[in-house]
Amino acid sequence: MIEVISLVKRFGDEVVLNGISFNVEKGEIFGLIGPNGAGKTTTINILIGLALPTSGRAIVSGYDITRNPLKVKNIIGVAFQSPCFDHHFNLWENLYYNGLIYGMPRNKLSERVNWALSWCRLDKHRNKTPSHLSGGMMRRLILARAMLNDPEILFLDEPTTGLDPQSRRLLWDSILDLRDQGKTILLTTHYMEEADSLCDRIAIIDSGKIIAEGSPNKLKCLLNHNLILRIKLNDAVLNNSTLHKMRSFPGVGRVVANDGQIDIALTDRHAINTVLSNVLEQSEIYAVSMVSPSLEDVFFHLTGRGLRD
Amino acid sequence: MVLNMRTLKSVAAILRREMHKYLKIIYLDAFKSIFEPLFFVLVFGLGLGRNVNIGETSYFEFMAPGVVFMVAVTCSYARTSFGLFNDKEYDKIMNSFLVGPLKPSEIVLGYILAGTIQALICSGCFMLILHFAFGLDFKSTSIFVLFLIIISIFFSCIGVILCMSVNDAHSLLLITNFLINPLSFLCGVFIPTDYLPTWVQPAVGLIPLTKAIQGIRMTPLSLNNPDVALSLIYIAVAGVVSFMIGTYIFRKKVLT
Repeated sequence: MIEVISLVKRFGDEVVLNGISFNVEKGEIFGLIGPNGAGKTTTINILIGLALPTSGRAIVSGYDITRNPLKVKNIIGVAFQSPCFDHHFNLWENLYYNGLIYGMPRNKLSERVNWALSWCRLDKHRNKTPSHLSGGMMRRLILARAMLNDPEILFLDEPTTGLDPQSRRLLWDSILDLRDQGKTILLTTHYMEEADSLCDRIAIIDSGKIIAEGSPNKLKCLLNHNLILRIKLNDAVLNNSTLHKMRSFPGVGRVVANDGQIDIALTDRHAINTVLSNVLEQSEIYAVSMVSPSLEDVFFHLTGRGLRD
Repeated sequence: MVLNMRTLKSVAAILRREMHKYLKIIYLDAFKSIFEPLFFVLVFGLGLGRNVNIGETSYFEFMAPGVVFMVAVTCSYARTSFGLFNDKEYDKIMNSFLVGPLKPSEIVLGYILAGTIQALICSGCFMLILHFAFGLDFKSTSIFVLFLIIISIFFSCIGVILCMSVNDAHSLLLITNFLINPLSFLCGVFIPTDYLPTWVQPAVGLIPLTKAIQGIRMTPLSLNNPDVALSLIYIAVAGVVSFMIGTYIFRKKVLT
């Protein structure tokens, strides 16, 4: 459905996309995740016709976006990261006047606007102006607008950023509902649990390159350990020599200490006994648990913990 | 730009939206557009100019048609430039147009036509006030309106060019104050351009507003008068060129 081939984008001397390639299959939710400035939004901007690639190709539903932008724009819907509505208009008018650009007959468009408002549960607020909506309602309205032309493909740029947990869950349900309707969805997000819950496949992008791609489970397997042993213990014993000693045990991978808690990645689950007996020699154990590596662990593993601009 | 049904629908979509928005603020906008020029007419035309004649014409009859053009210029320029700027920078709804099946030239044309129609509404209201309240008779109204239409199109295009050339509202306001507002004083609204210093006159003569104001003061005011026809053609060509420049800059700015 979407085919990106060796896409390069430069702004002057700065290389923002450095030859990325990926495919999105029909009916799947594909996530692009990466640190700030990694190239996620630039990729989406090229796919939706807001930016031109320096080289490479982007094919959307069989059409090259640079050669047939109008054909592509007829079959896509875009939910932008930030709200973009006319504050002179109420919700119904905002959607109606946006839908006009798709050339729909007026009565069909009116029906579609009513459907969209009802679908995003905002039909009671149809006469309000956008400035009277909460953050969650605004996000739902953005999604509803993207659905106006009944697109085959949806691009969602950080659809839940800044929302409370309830609003986020509601929006996740809406996104999953869209997949059930057969839509192909490409989304970007900073929330790893969101990508984990929603996406069938994920590409991790960093410094303009795709550094990993696959299903969430496949990505988690990139870490060469299957489990993390999490121990809460006396803060005083958590010093560098203890951590160094832990890392030297056979079957132990990454060891991270934080706030009276130590996360020990195990490449061999038989190392549990060695680790626990060693810890017990030095400190009382307050709590112990086994956790599976999360997508966030994979993300940090691949992109590092350094702050990005 | 090829004119086909899809293009017409696209332009009409932008135009309808802009007009619907305008109708919501028409009282405020019409008041704003007419109030200041009305003061010019009252203070300069009927006050200071009471005992002044320009040739055989009273000063009021000389300056009032020019002030109608001033209304059209201010309104077409301001509605297009500030409207487009607001949609691009503040409401950011321009992005939702750009991801729709519209060509940049169609978006630009929609805004220009909306600015032109809104300018005609304002200047039309002003003409009615001048006629009914002050008894001013407009000669050859059809030619007068034709000049108003093409000058409004031209200044709507200038609105697109200037709005897309700046990155903040302050710069746009500054350009408006230094470039657009002085035109009224330079282009023959209040005084004949012959009264200006001779070194300024050739440059002022090239400005389409000067051509329009000189055009409507020509006798006879008819399309059969070659000077009138030439003025119309001059402004129309300037409009087409500025539309092409405006579309080019718009495309360069919105497609990174």
